[in-house]
Amino acid sequence: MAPLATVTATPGSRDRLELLYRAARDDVYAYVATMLGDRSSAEDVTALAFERAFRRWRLFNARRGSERAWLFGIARNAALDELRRRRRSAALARDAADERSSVHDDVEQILQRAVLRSALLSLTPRERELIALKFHGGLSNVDIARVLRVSESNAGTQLHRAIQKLRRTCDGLA
Amino acid sequence: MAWRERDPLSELARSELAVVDAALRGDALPAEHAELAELALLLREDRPRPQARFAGALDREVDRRVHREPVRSAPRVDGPARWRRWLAEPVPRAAGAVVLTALIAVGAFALIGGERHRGGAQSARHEAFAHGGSPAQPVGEASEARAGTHLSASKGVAREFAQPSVASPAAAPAGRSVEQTATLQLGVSRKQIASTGQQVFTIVNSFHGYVQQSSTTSGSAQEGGASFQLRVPSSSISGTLAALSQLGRVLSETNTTSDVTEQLSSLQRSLGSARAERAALIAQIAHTSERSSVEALRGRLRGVDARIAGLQTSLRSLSSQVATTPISLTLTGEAPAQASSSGDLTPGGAVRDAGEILSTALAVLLIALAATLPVALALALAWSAITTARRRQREQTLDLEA
Repeated sequence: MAPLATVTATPGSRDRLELLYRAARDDVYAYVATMLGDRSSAEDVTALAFERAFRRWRLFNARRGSERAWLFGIARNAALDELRRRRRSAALARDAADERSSVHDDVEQILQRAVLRSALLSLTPRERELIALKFHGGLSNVDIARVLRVSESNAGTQLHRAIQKLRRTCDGLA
Repeated sequence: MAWRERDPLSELARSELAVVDAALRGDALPAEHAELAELALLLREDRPRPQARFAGALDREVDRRVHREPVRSAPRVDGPARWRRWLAEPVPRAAGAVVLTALIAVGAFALIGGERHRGGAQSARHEAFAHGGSPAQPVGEASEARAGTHLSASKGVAREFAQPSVASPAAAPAGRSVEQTATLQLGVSRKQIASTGQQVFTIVNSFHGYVQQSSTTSGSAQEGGASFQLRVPSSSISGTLAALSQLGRVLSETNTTSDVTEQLSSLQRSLGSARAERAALIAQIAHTSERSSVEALRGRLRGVDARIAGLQTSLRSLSSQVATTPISLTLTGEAPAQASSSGDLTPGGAVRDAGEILSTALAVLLIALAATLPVALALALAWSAITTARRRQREQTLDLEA
């Protein structure tokens, strides 16, 4: 995935949208998957988010934030709609199995990841979303603030609190 | 949602977030931040990753949409594009639809209003005709009217007068003698009463007629006016009326015809009998020798001569009435704008008409906006409420998940 900023394309063009997709596909999926907790729904919601992004690309306004923040805003709405839909119907079981572990990981790394995932699950959904936007989505604090429609300082404070809580939980679990 | 409250960023938070950003960028960090940096990298490294099957399918779909589908207008940063983008958003789009509907309504109202305006003017003219005391009768019927009956015709539009076949009195059938009269009432701008009066003289002279009597009132604040008693050759009545009707807005017109053929024949027969009687009396006088008889015959001859003279006078008068037609013309002073709406295509009239249409359209536009503004506001409020409610519901989803 090439970083969006390093690729030249006319702002607002279809090429630019394609570049945005190439740069953000995995990040959007990671954020949505963390929000929803199961791979199948994450794939559906990720595809839906990009479908909406392609449809609404001409509405994008650079003065309201970066393209990446705009895309994650769409993905967030789609993910929240999916969560609401789940609550109305039957709640789906979260995927227990995860393909993130590699056979090449050593035991210590596997343990670290297990602790981290357990700590993540102990966070509230809002805190988990902040962690997902920052570390899985790769958003800056400014973009996180745009996505959540809060001020940058507010977003930073809440993110810092979530990280602190995650650190404390990891320490406790370790 | 307490986490949304204003919460200034502390120095500790600022520095630790800077460490996180530096770690994610791959910058070298002091050992004191190693634990936080390791957590950041582990979180980034341990993020969920899409399966190759899904990523490949999504790539193909994106490739199809980017390279094969027709590209819709992409956003640009210049002015017009910004407007297009703004108009493409839901609320402005709804507002645009409302404004467009209002404009269509304005156009329709303007058209209908214009028709009503013209229709109203026509009705007013017919009304004026009715006040003239002559019975209204369709033009078609007038043209089909038989000689010997009274005929009236009314026309509301001056342009119709320019077509003699429609507007002129019925032509006298061959071999028949018809006496005609015409009454014409025109609306003329008050300022043009005097000049229009001069034009009446010119027109009548050009048709070899004459003005028997005229009376002009102008220059006062009240409605000015003029009246004319004209007499023109009957053969020129159609052209004369057509020319006169071009001088202003036709308020009413009455044409009357009366077949006097029998009356004329009767006079001619009586005159012939009288002349024969006179000739017989002269012959009797020539063959009579008795003085008393001659005096009696001469007395009868004087009576016959007087009767012949009377018949000749009546015959000349009737022939004159058939040969020339009296026209009673009235010019009524009107306000300039009212007088101009006669349909004449002069530049001044067109400018005035355009001004009237624009002012009418503006009035209708204001009415339409006044009517649609509450609807637009209600739609905007409803849209805003729906958007806000949907956003709250989404945010509540995370709270409920907790």
